[in-house]
Amino acid sequence: MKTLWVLSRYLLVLLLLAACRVGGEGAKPISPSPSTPLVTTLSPKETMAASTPTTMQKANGTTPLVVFCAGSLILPFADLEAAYEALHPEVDVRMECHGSIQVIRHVTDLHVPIDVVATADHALIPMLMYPVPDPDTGKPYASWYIRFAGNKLSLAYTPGSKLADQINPQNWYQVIAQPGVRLGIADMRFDASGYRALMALKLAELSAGTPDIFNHVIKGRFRYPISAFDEEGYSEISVPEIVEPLSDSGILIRGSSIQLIALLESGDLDYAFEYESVIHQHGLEMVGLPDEVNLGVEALAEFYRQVEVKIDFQRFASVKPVFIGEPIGYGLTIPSNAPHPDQAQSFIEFLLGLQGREIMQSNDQPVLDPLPCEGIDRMPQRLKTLCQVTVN
Amino acid sequence: MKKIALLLVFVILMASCTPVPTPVPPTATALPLPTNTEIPPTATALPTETPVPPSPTPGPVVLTLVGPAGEKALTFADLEALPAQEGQAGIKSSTGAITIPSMYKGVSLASLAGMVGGLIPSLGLNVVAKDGYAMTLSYDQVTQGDFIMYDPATGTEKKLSTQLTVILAYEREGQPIPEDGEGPLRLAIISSENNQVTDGHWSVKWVNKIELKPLGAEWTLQMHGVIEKEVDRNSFQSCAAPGCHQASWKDDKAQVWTGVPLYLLAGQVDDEIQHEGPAFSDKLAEIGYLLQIVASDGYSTTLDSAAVSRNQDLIVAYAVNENPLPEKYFPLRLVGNTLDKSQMVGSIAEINLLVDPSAAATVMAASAASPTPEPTTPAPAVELAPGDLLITGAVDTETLLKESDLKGLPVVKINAEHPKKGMQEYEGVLIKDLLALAQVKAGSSKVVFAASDRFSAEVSLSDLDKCTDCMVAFTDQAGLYQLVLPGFQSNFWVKGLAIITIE
Repeated sequence: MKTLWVLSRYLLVLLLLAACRVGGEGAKPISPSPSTPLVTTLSPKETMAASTPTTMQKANGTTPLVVFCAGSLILPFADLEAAYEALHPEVDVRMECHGSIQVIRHVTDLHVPIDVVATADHALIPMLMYPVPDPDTGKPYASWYIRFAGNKLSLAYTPGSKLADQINPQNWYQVIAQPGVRLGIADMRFDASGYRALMALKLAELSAGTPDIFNHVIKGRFRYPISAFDEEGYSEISVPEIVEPLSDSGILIRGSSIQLIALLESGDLDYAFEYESVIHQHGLEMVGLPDEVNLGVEALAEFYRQVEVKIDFQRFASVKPVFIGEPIGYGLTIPSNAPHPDQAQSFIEFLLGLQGREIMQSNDQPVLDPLPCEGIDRMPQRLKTLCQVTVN
Repeated sequence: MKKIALLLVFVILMASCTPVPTPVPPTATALPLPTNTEIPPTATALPTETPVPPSPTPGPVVLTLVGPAGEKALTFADLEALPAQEGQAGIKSSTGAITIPSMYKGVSLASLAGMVGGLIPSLGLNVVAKDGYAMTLSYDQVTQGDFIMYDPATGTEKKLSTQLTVILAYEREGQPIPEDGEGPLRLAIISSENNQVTDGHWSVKWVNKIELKPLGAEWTLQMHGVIEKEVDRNSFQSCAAPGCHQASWKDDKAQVWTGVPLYLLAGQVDDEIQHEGPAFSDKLAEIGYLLQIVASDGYSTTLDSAAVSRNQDLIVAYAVNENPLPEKYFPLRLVGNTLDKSQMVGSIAEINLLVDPSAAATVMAASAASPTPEPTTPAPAVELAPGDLLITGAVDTETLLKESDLKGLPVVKINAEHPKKGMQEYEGVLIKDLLALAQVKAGSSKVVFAASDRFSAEVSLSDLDKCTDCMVAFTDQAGLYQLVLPGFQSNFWVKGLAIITIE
């Protein structure tokens, strides 16, 4: 039954990808060639226009609600979308999922009208949206956010992984450093789970009081070194502009953590750093990392703050790639230029209400309780009641 | 079961959830791929014979190239006139959506890089779009097409022998790429067949600048003394290479800091002699001056020349654990056992020698009158590693000893009076044993002891014969030897001894 369930989830993801305009990196989908007439795509301009409220027609009498979310939220948000549309048949939720930085860039750099933004790192909202004004109104693209969910970083593996019968929460860092063991990490330049994996290695070192965990796993395995530097109460990890593992290093880097899952399942990887919710959703084996390492425990916020990742590579002009260790927190907001703010508030109320919480819980991604909010004075009135805690 | 049924209903609902045309997901892309078609000659990733334009053509600049050889501005016509390559390129987005291959035409990035100095492994190729999006490609990606490939039909990774080439494309399916779409210029990773797609984040659209830049920030160190000098990153690192002047220090977290002894840097600007021969002026140091080490924010520390003189333990470090220094200290930090933390200036921008002008004039005059006041030693024919000791010259057996070799010889302990430090205990190998090992030829008269920094001291064989305690002593630092010559002045006690030459 579990296998059937997992398979059905894959089918869902595939069809979601087919049905929803998911994806689009720095480059939008390329128009089809004449030799591929059955595939239809929009040019970037057409795609943007299709999402623009002024040109967006109410298809079949429905109001489009554009929701951009982090890739790790694909499955729970798909469930939310279906449930919300069932309750509100007058609304057509249009979901797109990307890396969190890319989600925000669609608002601030590409000026795409989006109703709800949900990122895997809440800190990105004040970092990248608060300072950027909408050129049409002069208002910042965001001035508040709700930290609505957490997660934990863990190691995913399969029964066929090397040393699968030996790995445990105490020896995991020794296992993944073993010669011949293949470790997957998302590219820390593009995916939050990638820089969080580096933080986890350093935190393991600090919590275990065992020097060189980071170096044993990372040092000497990249063409351009990823390095860590320690001072009293502070560790700085430097990621170079180019992240290229050496061919025989045993480390595989992929642009997003979801790509690592496919490699785990195909047997091309033994272990990969993934979020616990994603591991559960995909039915993989998991080594739960200690709380001091998994970035998932609020009470350990000060401990996590000892680690910082600096990335030489600046993908977007508006992004300064410096990330401080802190508990994993998903954030959501309504951009100031949202074309349908009322429906956006309604969707958020649904997500944070009883039914939404159940859906999130069933996807192993429980909603926080209480809900920390930032900028509560600037929030829409009807959402303020959801917030009981103010985060700094 | 109920849940699965609900899901399937939901799936069907989702299949029609968007009114906009969509890029087809992996499972849907199997249909249109003309995998059975032969690619015509024009559709291969081979350069066409288009001559390079003799001069810039008129029109707006669409691309700026920046590299070690300067900057070039190219118009669209300039690009079209360069040798072109064509091939199939498609992408896979971060969430798995596949955009199947189309035919692209453009100029290879390797060719464009060649126009501004060429790409080498220590450089990255930074591609910048007009909206600020940027992507840096590595040497292997640009020159070898080192990208992960996916099956356009399934989206799964696959290993192919297909050669990939990154081009700056200006045409798709024979038409210019619309400026209000992805053009006029975008990256495309092409192959001769339509059997692969690559990660979408490489395929930058709206490209307007390509820059070759070092992987790691460049920096310079300003030095002011009797003369002025600017040292750049390359020169410094070259100076700090193993076998040259490399020195290291381990901090309380067992992190190893690597760099160059401060006195050797001072030697670059304490007189006209900067490297070859006795770069460091012992004479000026004895007269005395202050060294001011200044950070980029103005913070500084000052040391006396007496403390710095030939002190191997005061190091200006450029690397920690073999990596560039962290941002807080980048690019250089003064470190060493005898310094407290407030003296360990980071982000060093300047080193100033505060020299009394009359003393400087005296030293300069002396240098001019006697350009080679101390014996110097030519570079050895063999490459020496740290810890090597070479006995060469007028010997029957030229001998290269590692530290382990030296420790295998008779090792003795002595107490000897250092001219400045007083009575000290030393442990090492006696000079007479070393000379006996190499078998000094008859008729030899002198011995030149040279340090790895080329500082040297010359002693007559007859004087050495009389010195029963003269030895090559081990120090606290592995592979670093101290010449111990009791009864001789301090400038004969060569530290960092590497070569003994009999003449």
